Amino acid sequence: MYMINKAAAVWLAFLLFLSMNAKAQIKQVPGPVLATDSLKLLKQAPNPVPNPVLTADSLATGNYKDVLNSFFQLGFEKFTGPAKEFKFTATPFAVMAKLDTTLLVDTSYIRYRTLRNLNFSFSAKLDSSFKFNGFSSGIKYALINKRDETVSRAFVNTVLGNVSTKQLFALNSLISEQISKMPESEKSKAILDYTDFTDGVKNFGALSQALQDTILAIAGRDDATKTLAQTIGRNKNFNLKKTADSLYQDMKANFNKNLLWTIGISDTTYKDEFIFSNIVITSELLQGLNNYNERKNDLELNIKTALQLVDDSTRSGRDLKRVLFSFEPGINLAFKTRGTKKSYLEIKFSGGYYHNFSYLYQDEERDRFTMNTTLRVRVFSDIWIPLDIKYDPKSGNLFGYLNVRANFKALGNAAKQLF
Amino acid sequence: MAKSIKSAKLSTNSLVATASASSKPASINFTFSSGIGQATASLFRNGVLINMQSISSSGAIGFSDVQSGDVTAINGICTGQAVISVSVPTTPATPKKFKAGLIIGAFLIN
Repeated sequence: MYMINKAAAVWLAFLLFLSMNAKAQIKQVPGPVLATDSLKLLKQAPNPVPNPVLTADSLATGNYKDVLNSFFQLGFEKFTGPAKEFKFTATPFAVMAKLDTTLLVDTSYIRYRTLRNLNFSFSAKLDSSFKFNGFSSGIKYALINKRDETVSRAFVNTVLGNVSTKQLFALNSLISEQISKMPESEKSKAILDYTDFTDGVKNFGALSQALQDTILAIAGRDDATKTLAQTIGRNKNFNLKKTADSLYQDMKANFNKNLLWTIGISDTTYKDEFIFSNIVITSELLQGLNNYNERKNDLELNIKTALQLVDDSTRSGRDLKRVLFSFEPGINLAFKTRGTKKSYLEIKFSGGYYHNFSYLYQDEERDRFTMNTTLRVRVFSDIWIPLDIKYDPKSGNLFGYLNVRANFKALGNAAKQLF
Repeated sequence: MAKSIKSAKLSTNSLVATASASSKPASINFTFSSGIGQATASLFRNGVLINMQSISSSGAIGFSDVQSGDVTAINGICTGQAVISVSVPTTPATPKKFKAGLIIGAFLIN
């Protein structure tokens, strides 16, 4: 039985078109060139273009954002199927920070780690005619979240301990020291020229000849910056800001491969009565499988477990006596652009084991296995379209669902109101 | 031929961090938001490091004696956003914002 209907096929074609379009759009954005631990020659444009803002949200894989959302997410799920769902997910902290932006200041921010690790969601279920078909809600909590670099002292220490970071800091101190002993009449001009360098407005080659010579001379005679001086000397297009950003983003990308384990519970009510028709207890685990590398695509382990309590329709009345267990281990492969490092396409392959603890319906099996694939396409920076496909090798059944999910960087915008 | 920027003439007095008529206290305020941060501010006068302090959360670093012509170097990191503000006039002017990443900056005390 093929449940993928004609509409789904049309959406799939549309989705692939958008995928190609999104890929092309992302590639056009000039991004920072990655540097590894040792600073290397960077092929940068002669006229530096401001870097795109890369945030945790914009770099995170779609799979990661589906498991634990940082801010707000709106989803229109299974819109090609008969049971559609319009879903809103947020963290309590995001809602609070919208009302009081001072909560974003670090001294408050670190105190609300628990609330930021908590997701709540509400959704309205719709039938095939888009009529209300029940209400759903849920909460999810990250028992282990080693991916939140924003509050991690270990991450800060990793960045500060990096050899290239130390070289950039040493260069900044040496040049500041040098400017402080210049004749008074030259200091202002030199500091403004140097600020353009640290802000990435000017490449090394665009600085005044005097400042270029000073940087090379000062950095070249200090052991802490000798390697950096050689790198800069070989590349007139060296951009200090882009180099610093690349170093940071590399280390953040590696950090975002750490373990994330969430547990959650969700419920659904009947459309005509506010009692539960369905309760699901879930556990989901994510762990990066490979170290970050600019040339490699990301591999991620994703294990989902769920226990579902639903109405046993063979019995009269409404109950939650039908108990179903599912276990879905899978691997998520994220394809990313070289320039922006954003994943534009993700494919998740997983197996599914399903067990029914209760009374079996006619022709139903107690244990069932499926092969699942989820295709996620990033159509815009924060909008993903996931297509879930399940295949039951025994029965030959194929199921498909198409969803749309959009993440909102509300905290980032709220932070702008602080200053 | 390479042409470096000339250094001011050094003397014994110029190397010593002594208060003068133009001395004034200054504070460097750090506000980290949407994450944490850490920074070190170094104060240079005539090529000599005369003060260096670090901060690991939002707050202020106080220099009891800054003079016109001093340069303060700021090195640090913020995982969300950072705003740095110096209490006395500087070039470039403050407050200055930094996005998540390394904080690398220098300010000349006017």
